[in-house]
Amino acid sequence: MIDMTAPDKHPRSMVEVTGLRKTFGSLVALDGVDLSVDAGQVVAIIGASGSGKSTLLRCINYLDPPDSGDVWVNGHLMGIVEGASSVRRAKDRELRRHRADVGMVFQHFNLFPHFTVLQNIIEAPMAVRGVTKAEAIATARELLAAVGLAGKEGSYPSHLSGGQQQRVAIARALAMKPRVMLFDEPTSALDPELVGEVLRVMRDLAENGMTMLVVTHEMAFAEEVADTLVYFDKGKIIETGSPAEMMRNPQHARTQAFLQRLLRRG
Amino acid sequence: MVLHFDILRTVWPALLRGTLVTVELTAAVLVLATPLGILVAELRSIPNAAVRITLGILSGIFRGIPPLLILFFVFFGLPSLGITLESLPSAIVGMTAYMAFYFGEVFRAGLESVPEGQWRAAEALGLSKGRTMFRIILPQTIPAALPPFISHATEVLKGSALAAAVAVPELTHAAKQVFVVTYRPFEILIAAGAIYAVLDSALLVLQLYGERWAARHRAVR
Repeated sequence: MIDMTAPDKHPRSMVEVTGLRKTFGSLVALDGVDLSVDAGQVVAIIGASGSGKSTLLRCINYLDPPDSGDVWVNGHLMGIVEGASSVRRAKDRELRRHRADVGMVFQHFNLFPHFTVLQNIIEAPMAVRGVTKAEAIATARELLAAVGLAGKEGSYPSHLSGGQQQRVAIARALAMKPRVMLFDEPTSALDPELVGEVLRVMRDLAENGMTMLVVTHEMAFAEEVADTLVYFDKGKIIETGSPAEMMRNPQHARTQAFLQRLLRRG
Repeated sequence: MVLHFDILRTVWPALLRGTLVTVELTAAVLVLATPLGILVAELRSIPNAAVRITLGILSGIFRGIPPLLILFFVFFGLPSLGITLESLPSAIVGMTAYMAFYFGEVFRAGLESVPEGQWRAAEALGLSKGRTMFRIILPQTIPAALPPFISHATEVLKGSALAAAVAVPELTHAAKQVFVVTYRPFEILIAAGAIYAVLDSALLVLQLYGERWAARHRAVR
């Protein structure tokens, strides 16, 4: 049995991705991706749709296991269990424990529609972390207050706006006490006037030291909140840098073209 | 023609016994075929092509041949293989066999109505597959699966009359037995029909209750 709390050989960064490759049939979604994210860092990932950004997030938490390459989260190798003398693929149950350290927020929220807000948030901590119901509810209430939704415990997702649903989804992911949060275009499905309230919650989270990988088209948010901007194209990282620097002065022709398109669109 | 419903005063114990057998048979088939139907639906969605195709073919066969033939096969045919069942168990086995595939279709459509993102979200939270299925996915299949499920359950109730052919003393069988000795088929068959109608409405109440539950928890798409 591997001790999940002990630091391992790769303690430097919170997330360390090396040589990640993922294909779907003949489509190469990730073509050798290396990425390192320090604890407390916010990385914004931009790129055209179909460039592999979302696949990268899903490979990091092993929703889509990569074909090859390694993912280290908090010093532990995802999807792999190291015994005394052997290394093997993690069983489903072990993988679920690895995954619990990584929270994920989806473009379409994916709240459970037949559960109340409170049930949505407490289900996984109780089932996966073994938290008591009273504890789970207490945590859920704190989180709901933190995302500005105190008092919405008993509402069903269908009675909430998109922005409220996405904030519940963030609270649901945080209830697992993850070390890293992955955001997959969290505001792309929202009406423009609802984007701000979700970004505000994400900004708070970043200020509180959460390690975050955010796939986004919100350049203003990326510039203000992200420590690093990553430009993705055809399954590869083309350019990495500080957001302000990269947006003012992109080095790569493809980055320039992409940013121009994005800024022209407004 | 004069109706003499007072005949029912004499024959009601026989009709009641038949009704109980009908309820027992229907309940047993529903209780067995429902989880089997869920299993069939799940197996038909797994990547293994051999399992998927085999089940698809079996589903076509069992839903394509007359139910009566299946009941005959279980009752008269299986003894050739050394499997001899009493009439009620053989009716339960035979009806469960084909109903599992009807319910398989119902639940398959139901499972397909749940967006892929629900599985993704549950998986990302670390929920196990079983828990995801029973807590997250199956409850959401109710709006799509409940009406066809209830209509198939009604078919089970009506179809239980076929079990008379393998000597199960269910309601239709009991009605026939009493009208041939009393010569009052008209009244007795009306009474039997009325009993079926009452049992049907019990299933409809179940459907209304389930639909109200589902409406309260409906997702906005």
